[in-house]
Amino acid sequence: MNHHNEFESYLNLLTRFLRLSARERASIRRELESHLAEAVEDAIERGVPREAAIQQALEEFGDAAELASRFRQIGRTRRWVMRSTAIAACALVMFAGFHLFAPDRQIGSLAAGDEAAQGSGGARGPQPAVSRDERRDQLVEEDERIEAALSKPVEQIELQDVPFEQFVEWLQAQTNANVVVQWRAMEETGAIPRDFPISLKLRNVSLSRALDLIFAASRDVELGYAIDDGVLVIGPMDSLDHRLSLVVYDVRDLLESITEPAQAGGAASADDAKSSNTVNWGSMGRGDRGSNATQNAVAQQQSSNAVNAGTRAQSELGALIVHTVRPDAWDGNGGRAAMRFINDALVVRAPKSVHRELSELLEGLRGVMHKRASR
Amino acid sequence: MPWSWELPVTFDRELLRGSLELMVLGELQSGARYGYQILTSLSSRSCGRVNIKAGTLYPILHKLEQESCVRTWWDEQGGRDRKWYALTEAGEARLRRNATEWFDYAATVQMLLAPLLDSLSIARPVVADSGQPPARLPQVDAQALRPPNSRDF
Repeated sequence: MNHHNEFESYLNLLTRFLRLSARERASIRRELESHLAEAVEDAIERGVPREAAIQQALEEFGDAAELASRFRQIGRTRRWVMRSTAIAACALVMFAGFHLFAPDRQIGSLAAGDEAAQGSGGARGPQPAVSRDERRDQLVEEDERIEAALSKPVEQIELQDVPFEQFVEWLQAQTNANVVVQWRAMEETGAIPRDFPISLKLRNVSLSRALDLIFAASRDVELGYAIDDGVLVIGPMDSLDHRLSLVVYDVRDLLESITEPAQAGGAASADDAKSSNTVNWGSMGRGDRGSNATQNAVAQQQSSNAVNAGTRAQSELGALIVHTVRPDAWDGNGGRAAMRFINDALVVRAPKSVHRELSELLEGLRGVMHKRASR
Repeated sequence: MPWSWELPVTFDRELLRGSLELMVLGELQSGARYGYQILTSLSSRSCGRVNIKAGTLYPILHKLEQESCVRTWWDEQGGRDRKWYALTEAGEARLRRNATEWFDYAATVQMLLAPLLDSLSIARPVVADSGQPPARLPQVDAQALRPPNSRDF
C-alpha cells in the first residue's frame, strides 16, 4: 500500500521540529508511519473512504509542531518527575511500613451482631481492630452466606399458627443471621401484623421461597426482604431499598447477540439516526474518533445502519430488562431506578434488590446465548 | 435534590490526564503491545469511553522508554513494520506504585465527597464484570514499593 505521499509531508514536518537525536527521530518517524498505515487500513476496512481515513488518522496526531514539543517536554520534566516520584516513593514506603507493623488484628468472624439494631445487645466486649476494607469484605461474605442459607432447600418446614414475630425468631435461628423487621413501616402500611398466625407445611423448599409465600399474604403492601451489610431486613418493598447503587454492566456480548440476526435487516429511516444522538444511547461506534472528517453518502448510510442496529439492540435489551426485572421499580413506571446505555456498557442506578435480579437475568441470557452458540 | 443523570460518553480529558500513563502501563501488564494496539485495546476494554489520541500516546511511550520502564523491539512480520513494547521490572514496579497511589487517591476523593453520596444517589460505585474473571492487578507487596537502595525500617 503506498501511503507514502500523503504522510510524507506531515512526517517531514514533524521530524524537522523534533529536537532529538537523529536515531530517535528516525525511530519515531518509522513508528508513526507504521501506525498511520495501520489506522488508515482499519478505517478503510470499516467503510471509510481513503481520503477521509487519511485525514482522520492525521488528526489523531494533531499539529506537527505541538506533537514535537510533547516529545521534547519529556527530557525537561524528567528530572522533576524523578525527584517527586522519589519523594512519593518514600512516603509510600513509610505508609507501607506502618501498615505492616500495625498491631495484630483479629481475623475470623466478627459476629454480625454488632450491626443489627436489635436492642438485644449482649455484652460485646472490646472490638477487634479491623481495617475498613476488611470490614467491608466481611460484610460481603456475610451477605453471601445469608443468601446461600436462604436459597438452600429445607427438608421440612412445619409451622402451625406461629405468630409472625415468633416466625422471625425461628428464621433467625434457621439462618444464623441477624434478622431485622421494619415493624414501624409494616404497621404504617398495614402489612402483616406482629401476631399474624403463620401456618406452613412445606417439603424441600428454600427459605426464600417460604418467605415469598408468606409475603404473598400481604394484599395491599408488597413485602420483601433485602440482605444489606450482613443483615437480613424484612419490610415493605418501598422502604426496603431506599439507597441506590450505581453499577456498570458490560453487556457487549448480549448486545452483539441481539444485533446479529438484525444485521440482515435493511436501512432504517434517517429519524432513527437522529434520535440516537442523545446521551441516552451514546454509541456512535469506534469510527467516530475523527469526527471532523467528511464522509460520503455511502459510508454515512453504512455507519448509520450499524448505529441503528446497535440502537435497536439497546432498545430491545432495555425493554426486556424493564419488563422482566421489577417493572414498577423503574423511573418510567414511577419508581426510582434508572438505566442508560453508554456504548456497550449499561449503567444502572437502582436498589440492590433490582441489581440482584438484573444480574440473574443477564446470567440467564448468557446461558441461553451459550447454548445457542454451541448448537 | 435533583440529580443530573447526564453522563458523558467519553471521559473529560482533564479527568483522564492524570491516569494516562497508568492506563498504558496497565495495558502492557497484560502483555507486549505495539502502539496502535494499545489505543484500540484501551478503547475496547473501556466500552469505548477511554479514547486516547495517537498524538498523546506516542510521547508517553517515548517517555517510558527513556525511563527504562519498557523495552522495545521492531518486528516486520507480515509486511507490518511495528515497534513493540514490553514492561521491564522497573516498569512493573512503577505500575504497582502508581496504581496503588491511584486507588488511594480515588478512595480519598470518595471519602471527601462522601457527604454528597446520598444526594447523588450513589452508594459504593461498582463496576460489574461481564462474566469474565476480573483482571487482577499484580499483588502489592512491600518489596515492590521499596525504591532501590532504601534502608529497612
